Amino acid sequence: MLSGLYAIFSPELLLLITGGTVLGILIGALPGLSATMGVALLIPLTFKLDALAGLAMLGGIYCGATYGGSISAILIGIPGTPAAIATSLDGYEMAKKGNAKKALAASAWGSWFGGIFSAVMLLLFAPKIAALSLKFGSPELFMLSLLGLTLISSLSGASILKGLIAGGIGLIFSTTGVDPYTGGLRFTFSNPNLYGGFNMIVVLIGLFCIPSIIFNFEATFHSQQYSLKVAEELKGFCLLSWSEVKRNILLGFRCSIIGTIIGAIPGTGSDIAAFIGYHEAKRVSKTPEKFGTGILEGVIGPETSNNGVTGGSLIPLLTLGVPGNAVSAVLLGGLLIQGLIPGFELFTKHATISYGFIFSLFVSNFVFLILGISVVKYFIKVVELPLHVIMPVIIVLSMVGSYAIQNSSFDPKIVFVVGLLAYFSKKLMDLPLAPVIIGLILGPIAERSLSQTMVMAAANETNIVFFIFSRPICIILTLCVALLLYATLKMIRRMSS
Amino acid sequence: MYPFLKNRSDIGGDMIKRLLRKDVLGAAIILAWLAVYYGLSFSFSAKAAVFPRIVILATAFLSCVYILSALLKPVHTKTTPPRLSRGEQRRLYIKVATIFAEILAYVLAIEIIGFYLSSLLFTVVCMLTIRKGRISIFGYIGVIFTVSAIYFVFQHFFTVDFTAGWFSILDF
Repeated sequence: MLSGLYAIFSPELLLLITGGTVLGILIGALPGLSATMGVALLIPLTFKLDALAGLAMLGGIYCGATYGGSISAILIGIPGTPAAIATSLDGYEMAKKGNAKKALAASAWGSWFGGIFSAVMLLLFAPKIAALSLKFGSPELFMLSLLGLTLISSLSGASILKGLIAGGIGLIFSTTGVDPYTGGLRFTFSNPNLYGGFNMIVVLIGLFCIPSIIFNFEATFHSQQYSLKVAEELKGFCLLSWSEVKRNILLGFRCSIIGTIIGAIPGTGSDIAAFIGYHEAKRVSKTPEKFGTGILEGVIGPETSNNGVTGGSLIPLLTLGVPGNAVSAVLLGGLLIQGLIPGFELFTKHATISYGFIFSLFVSNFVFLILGISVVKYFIKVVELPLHVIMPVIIVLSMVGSYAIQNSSFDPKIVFVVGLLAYFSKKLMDLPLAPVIIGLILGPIAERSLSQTMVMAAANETNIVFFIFSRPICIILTLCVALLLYATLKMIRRMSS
Repeated sequence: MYPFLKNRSDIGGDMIKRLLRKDVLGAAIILAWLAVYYGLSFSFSAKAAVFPRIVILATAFLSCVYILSALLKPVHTKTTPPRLSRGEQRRLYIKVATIFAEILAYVLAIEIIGFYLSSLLFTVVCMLTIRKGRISIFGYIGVIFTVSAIYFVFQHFFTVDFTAGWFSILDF
């Protein structure tokens, strides 16, 4: 372990980790580019580097991109990554009120806390958490997706009914493409571009970019002030006050634990963790009615959770070779290219590399914290530009980003159609948009795991309900769903009174 | 409970106003879309249609509940004056419609004249549409430079293969 620690402090490695983290922040902040894409694009660069240097750089990109998504979510209301959607709900509102610096501080410190916590967990408890995560089969994943769907209530704003309708729309969209039962096509209208279903990031850009920019245009149409937000004092570092730290430290621990556990469960990711973190922050808050209006906890909760995933997702990867999410699946490729096989041998024969990689995550978290509290604040200047400058640039960036995902000129069309529908659904019904993405994320997981559970129950000649409730983790997750629903109902009653 | 239980005569009087509410119209459009999708689900195999049908029916039920609850609620007669005059409102609608039309033209032009040229044209046209007052030449140059930089970064650093449209015939 100590040899790994010494190895990481070579100037060359520190430079590579810093470079990877900076690049990751930029990739995360640009809508359309995700951590997965960043790691995948830069894997060829690591061929010429030695194993630890290559992995440390990829780890830097992963941590930086997970944090970077919050910057555009806070400053322009467009989440750079799906994991930053929950952050944009309160972060953007804070920025509009002139508290962008505080929101950026909350995002940097929350992300750092979650990242460091999950890296410590990875260092100390990797084998134990990996064993627990392996107990998650299809029935458990189905119950987990149901648990995720109950989070819609937290993201629905004033009307839960509207949130549920939006979640249903997301679930219906998620059924587009090849069905997991027969391999037949559903809702594709004979268009080959829809055979693979809707790309989540393309829909995300459409939902959050076009309506947001048009609403900003409408809001400033009558006024003389023709920029998105008010100017802010940029002197000093982005820091939280001692009272804010004290008030949120417990929330930080809760959300870090959530992020680490969610990250360790294969098939889930930082987007789900961020939504659960947001729900948790709202649940424990004394003022849940203020969520969505620009509250610090609304940024700390999701940011701590989604960065908690970074270390968590590496636990099953390094110990069992099971990737926790898409980024760690790409990282697995990076490991194999370097001739490293995940498992017991990685922590014994290649201990310097594996522990060096884990320590590089600590360094990466410190790098983005330093940049987050000192440099990122200058991005606030971007939002002071007049709307006739920033609006076309954001639209072009969205179209370029959506095109870049699959090199397909069909995706910008999807962005336009989704943006148009999102605009009218906001205008007509004030439909919340975040539940649509929850439905889109959880739909495939729910359907696939349900179909596998049905097959498993049939093979055991049991009723599916009995089969699900014969598994201890499913019972625990059902209790969690019931508790969440109870807490939500209590919260609604509190908010309405 | 609902105010209509106290005064039943209220149901008929305001019903048309309630039916014409924007949110009721929105929920009705969602219901119509769900009906079309439910019909389409009959073209799939029985197993493949289970999940979509459950979700469609659940969403349709929620939409019906929403419409019913909206119809039963009293109509709010807000007295707050509108922020924009009728003329300004119309001008705003025209501007928004124009921006959407420009975005549509932009995404359609990508395949025809290529990504870079369509992006530049869209940028200039969009700036002219939403400007308030005169834009200096440096404003145009700055935005064109930024768009070019975005294009360059994505093409060269992230190896995105942007379409050149009809101009691809010039690429030997």
